Amino acid sequence: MKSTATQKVLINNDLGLHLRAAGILVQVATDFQSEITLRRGPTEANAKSIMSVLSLAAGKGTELTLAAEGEDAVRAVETLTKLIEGGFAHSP
Amino acid sequence: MNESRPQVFRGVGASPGVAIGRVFLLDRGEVRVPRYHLAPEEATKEVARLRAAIDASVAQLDAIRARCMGDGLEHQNILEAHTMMVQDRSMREEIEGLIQNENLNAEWAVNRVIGRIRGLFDQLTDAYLKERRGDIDFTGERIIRNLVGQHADISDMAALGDDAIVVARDLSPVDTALLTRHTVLAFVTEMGGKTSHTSIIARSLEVPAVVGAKGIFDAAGSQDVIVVDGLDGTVMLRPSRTQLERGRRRAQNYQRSTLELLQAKGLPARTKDDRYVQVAGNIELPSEVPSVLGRGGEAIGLYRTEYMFLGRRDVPTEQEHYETYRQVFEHMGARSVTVRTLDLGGDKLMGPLHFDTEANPALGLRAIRYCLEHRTIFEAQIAGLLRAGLHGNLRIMLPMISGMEEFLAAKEVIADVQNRLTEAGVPHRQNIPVGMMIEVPSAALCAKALAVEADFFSIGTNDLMQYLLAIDRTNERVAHLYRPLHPAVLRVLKLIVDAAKEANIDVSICGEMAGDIDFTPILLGLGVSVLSMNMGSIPKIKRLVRELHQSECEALLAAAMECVHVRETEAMVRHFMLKHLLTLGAL
Repeated sequence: MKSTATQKVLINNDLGLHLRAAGILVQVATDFQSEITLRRGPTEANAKSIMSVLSLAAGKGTELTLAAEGEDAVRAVETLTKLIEGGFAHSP
Repeated sequence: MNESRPQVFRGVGASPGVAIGRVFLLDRGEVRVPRYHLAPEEATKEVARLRAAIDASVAQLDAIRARCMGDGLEHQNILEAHTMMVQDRSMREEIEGLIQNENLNAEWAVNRVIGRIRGLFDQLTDAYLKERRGDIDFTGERIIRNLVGQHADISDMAALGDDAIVVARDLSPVDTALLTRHTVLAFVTEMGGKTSHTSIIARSLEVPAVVGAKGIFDAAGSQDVIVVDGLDGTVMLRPSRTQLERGRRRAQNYQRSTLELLQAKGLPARTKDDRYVQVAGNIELPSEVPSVLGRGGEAIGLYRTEYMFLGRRDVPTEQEHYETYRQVFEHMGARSVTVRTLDLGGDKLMGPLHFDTEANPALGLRAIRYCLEHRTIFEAQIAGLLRAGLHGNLRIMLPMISGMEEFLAAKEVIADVQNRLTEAGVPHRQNIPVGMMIEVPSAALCAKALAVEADFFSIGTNDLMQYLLAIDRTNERVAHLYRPLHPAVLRVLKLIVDAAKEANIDVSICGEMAGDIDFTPILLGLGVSVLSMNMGSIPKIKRLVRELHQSECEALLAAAMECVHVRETEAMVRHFMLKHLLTLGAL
């Protein structure tokens, strides 16, 4: 069943969506079937593309809107929200 | 103009130390970007050519990554991100769109897409993110080099002598990864700042580096003699005899002082007038204990236990707590180990504990407040600690205590757990000292009363200053107001230390101040009994203490306490340090 989900998230790790954080985000996003986007103001990025995510240039304190559409949309948004708000727990 | 005359360049010292060697110019040559329009029927073939170049790029990066296995995670992660970038789907689709719709040749299309993405970074103010432009450029460059058939990586590194100093316009993470397979005495680049990959890698390799040395690349000749001073950020090309002599002296001084620091690490931190202060290490993992001991740490002054709670979905069991702490105690033997109980919440990671979102996490349900509301999680940790205490010299430290009630409530939990263990016949340690972190101003103001109940104080200067000065120092707009020598900070520290001395209990400093040489004289002057710090700072703090007089530090503190302006105290301390550092060399 298709569904949609959105959530506002705050980038709170010191270096922002830097190279490694973006890499981790994209890897996690790619595991979901849903189409996932990150919006910053008028700019929209494909969460499965590292170039796209990097070009959001989201530093610490940036607010982004996470949106997903597809069968696992809710789970995707939940997982990615946790990852982002946890400051990319896997990237020390 | 005589090209062989000496030249001096100024950049930013990105990694300390002084090296003298010969220039190894790292030049991948300009990348050619041919531009032409395709005939419409050629587009399909051109897309295939692009894909082949991307495949070749991925293969090269994979091969380099395989070669650098074991070089540390930082490197691996960066190389992995680069691999993801060259095969990025949305970038590829955009390039293919230009090939198919505008009939651009592949090199031109890549160049244009990379240019567009890089343009987005040009307006940024965030220094770290801005430097990611370099990563975008390197990605495009690699694909284009593979399209035109140029070598994408430096192939002649075998020519590196054993006195090579690498001079480059810029180094990609891949370049540094390849270079670290060889002996390189130092790095100099025209581009980059303190957070560039070159700087990070140089510091981790412990070789000097100067970045931002504009103009050096065109001025340097291969095999020229070069002096790189990572301490003050200067680079001397083809130095005169005097310059060379000066470089040698600075290199020797630096080597001698670092060597002396390590050789003398076993000596206690005792001032010239015989006042001893214990120098301890802060750790997060049992595996860090040998490094603390290896640098001359005499105790563990702060064992942060949050790590156990991170990156998992459940909470650690009593047995896990026991086994983890036991490893630390067994390694430390009779030396004191101060374990801080769970201090999650606020800025720290949430892990499995499902904290609700709070508007003001630093002022929210965290640390001891959280533990008192979630007894089972807290009790499991306490029980594990009490049992593991049999194997070493444990002290329990409670974080974020704001007043008497909280401290007594937490002590009661500890007593309850102790009774339960006794009744169940589980072996555990009795009479464990229980102390508290002083990091909330309200606790500092009540220090006198708290000192009667607590077995020791440990001052968490980072949080204490944040709460006291109302400064979030990760907020760039106010970070400059975070001043450890603020008169209010000195007054509060004195209040806490005096209360501890009066009650005859230990008082330690475990915030960043403890490991910063600028504050050592003030902290000694206050009369703290333990300085606990990141392990890297241990040798130099011990050395500095041995150079100081307690009486002079007390006089400095007394004078500083008279100051009304933070600038005055800072100037006073700076003056004191200058006077003493003259005899310390490059500490």
